[in-house]
Amino acid sequence: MMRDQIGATDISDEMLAAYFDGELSDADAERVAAAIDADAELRGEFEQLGLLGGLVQHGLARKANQVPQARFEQIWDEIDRAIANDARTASEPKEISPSIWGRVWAAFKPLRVPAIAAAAAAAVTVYVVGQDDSDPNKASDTVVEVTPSPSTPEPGNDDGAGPQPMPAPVTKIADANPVVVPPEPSELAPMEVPDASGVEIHNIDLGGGGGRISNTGTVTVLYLDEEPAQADSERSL
Amino acid sequence: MSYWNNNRNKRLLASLLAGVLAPTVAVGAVMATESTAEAATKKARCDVHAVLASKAGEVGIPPTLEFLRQQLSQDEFAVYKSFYLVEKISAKTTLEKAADFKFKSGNQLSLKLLGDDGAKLKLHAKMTSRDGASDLLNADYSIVPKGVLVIAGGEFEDGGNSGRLFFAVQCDRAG
Repeated sequence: MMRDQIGATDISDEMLAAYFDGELSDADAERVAAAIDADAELRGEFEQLGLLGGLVQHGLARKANQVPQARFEQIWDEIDRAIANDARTASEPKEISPSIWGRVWAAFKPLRVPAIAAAAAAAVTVYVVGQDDSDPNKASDTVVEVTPSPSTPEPGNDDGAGPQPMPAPVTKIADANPVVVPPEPSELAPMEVPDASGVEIHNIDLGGGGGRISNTGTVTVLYLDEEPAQADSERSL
Repeated sequence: MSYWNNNRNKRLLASLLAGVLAPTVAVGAVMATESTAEAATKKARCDVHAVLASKAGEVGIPPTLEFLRQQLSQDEFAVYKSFYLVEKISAKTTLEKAADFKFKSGNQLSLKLLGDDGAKLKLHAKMTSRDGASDLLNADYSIVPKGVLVIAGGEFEDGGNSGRLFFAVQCDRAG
């Protein structure tokens, strides 16, 4: 015997629900339809299913109405983008393009030999110049300023305890340019925003174009309608 | 009897003086506090971040605008998927002189410090249209130091991105 049979029929709750959702085969659907016609209790159950479905639909519609317009636009945009992406993916050929470095390497193919030769010449030049700079007489001219650590012992006070570890050199910036350059205003660190701005508007004139004030408690936005035509756009929240 | 009368008169006089002086002293103290607070702030530093909010892309909030995440995450901005810092301008305003900000969009903003009530800075903001022909905004407002007031401008395009331009205005005491 089938469980949860309704009335005098052999139709179960699950089968009735499947019939309501249109999930039954043709033969089963015809059988359930005949049973609904014949049995009043089953017909009542079926009508209640329809009523329940309507209530759920109404509740969802009401919830949807509570979604802010901005959120709705966001969701709609995502759907649009997903559809556009799918369409683009379907229309694009599946050819794998070479990487950017591969294309650069191919473009410079005629210049490879001269470039390598130039690099070799530059390396030789750097090596020769470096050998020249190793001259100790020249090296002293390039040091800006090195100050010894205060813990360095005086030459006359050497107690013969062996060589002291070389103090780390401290290089100071030379005072050749004493002018203090203030930082660029745009390089200042951003201000840490408090949780609540607590904006109070005392007097406001929004000009000829109009506008509106929005305050969420966290942020206050003054909407200025610079282009009157955009007041009716979908971005007018 | 005379002694008692003298004593009573003195007490009456003392009560009368106390009744008159106490409110005066209290009011004076409050006024002094306010004037001290207002006098203490003669200069304010104002930062204005011009932010392009776009419905396209998936950039979200870049690191340069991370400090505005709480504000940009509000439902007011839910429709926008990408935010770009167009420019940041800092300037100082005093009780005597307004700070002027000229933006890439052509809009000009003028901020002038009006005072400080101890808790909030009072400022006057004036913004002109892109061609400078008309005033879009003239407002006096109070705001906590470093608080954000967002001014929403019109459509703008920068670096290949298009969207709506927002100006995030912050001011803090600077002397």
